[in-house]
Amino acid sequence: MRCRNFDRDCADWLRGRLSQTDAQAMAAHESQCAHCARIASEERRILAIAARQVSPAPAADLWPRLEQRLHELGSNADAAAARPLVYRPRPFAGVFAPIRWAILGAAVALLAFLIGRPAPQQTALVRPEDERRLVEMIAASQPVRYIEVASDDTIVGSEFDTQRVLLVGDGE
Amino acid sequence: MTRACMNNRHSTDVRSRPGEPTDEELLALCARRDQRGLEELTRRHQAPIYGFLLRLTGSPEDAEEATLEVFLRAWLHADRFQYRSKVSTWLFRIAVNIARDLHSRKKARPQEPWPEDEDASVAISTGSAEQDALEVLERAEQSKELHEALSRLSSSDRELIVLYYLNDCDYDEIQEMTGLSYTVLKTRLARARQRLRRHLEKAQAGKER
Repeated sequence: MRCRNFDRDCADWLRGRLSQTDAQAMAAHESQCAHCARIASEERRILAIAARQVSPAPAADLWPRLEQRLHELGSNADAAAARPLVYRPRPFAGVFAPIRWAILGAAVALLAFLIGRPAPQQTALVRPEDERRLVEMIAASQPVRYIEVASDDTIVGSEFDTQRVLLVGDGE
Repeated sequence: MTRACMNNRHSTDVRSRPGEPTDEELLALCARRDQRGLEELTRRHQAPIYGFLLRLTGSPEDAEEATLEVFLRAWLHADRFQYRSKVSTWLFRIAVNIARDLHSRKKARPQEPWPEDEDASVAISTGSAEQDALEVLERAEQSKELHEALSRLSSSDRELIVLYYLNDCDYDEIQEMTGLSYTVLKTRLARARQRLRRHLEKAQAGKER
């Protein structure tokens, strides 16, 4: 089992939502990997705290206020009912119209520029599917272009280096 | 009061007492513009919906307003309910949309202090009074830590964490409420969990210093 998978399934496992086989694999991995044992311990603590939480209730029954709202709504109910029920984000909704159009224009111009410019040279970007090629490059001691990404998708760094690529992994 | 729990502890789609109408029947009354349906639906579901929204917004006033909006929208759109999911799940879906709407208008994370956990004082009286008091204190401290960590998460992370951990929802329900696919949900939840753990670890480290 990979540490990444253990991390992903840990809460489900501790809540008894995994199959017996998967649960056994999780338990076995926990006993072998100190890093994942720590994750499991923290996850147990979170689950214990969450289980003790009590749902806060409103200070008073909301029905009288709701009844008042219905009364106020009165004949406008049909118009209100026509509004979409599902939330759709409206980017720039609060921005003054000319500025909104200027932003849109700039975006279109940028898009046209990006489409029109010559394609950048292909770089040796390493992805999981390029694994075999990566192994060959490391074996041949060729410098490998790596990009290090944090868990929140921000790029931490990028460089040409073979040794560094050997060090960066998922803990296995 | 029980914890807001969608799956079992708050299963309202069964008659809680013989002769009482089900949630579907109450919603059908709403669709026919009979306010008695909405009144009963509100009384049944206001607590879990309010609790959920309070955890997302961090403000009792915002949570109350948003809860009113949930039932108002349910009333207005009752005739559109497809009877494919539980009424409670549908109400939570509306609540998720309203919370997102509220967040996009405010563009702010909860800043107000989280309300004290009143029931933290209801300790299991097993040992001495001193032991009980210590336990209550410890629980209150842990609860505060969790809420502070939650308030540091992004609104989308917080939404998933609250539904998964505090409302005890399963993946199917969270999918229905948030509109996310299973794969996207698993990935986002895993990342949200990592961030939550990081915040909690930081809080723990700060305490030990």
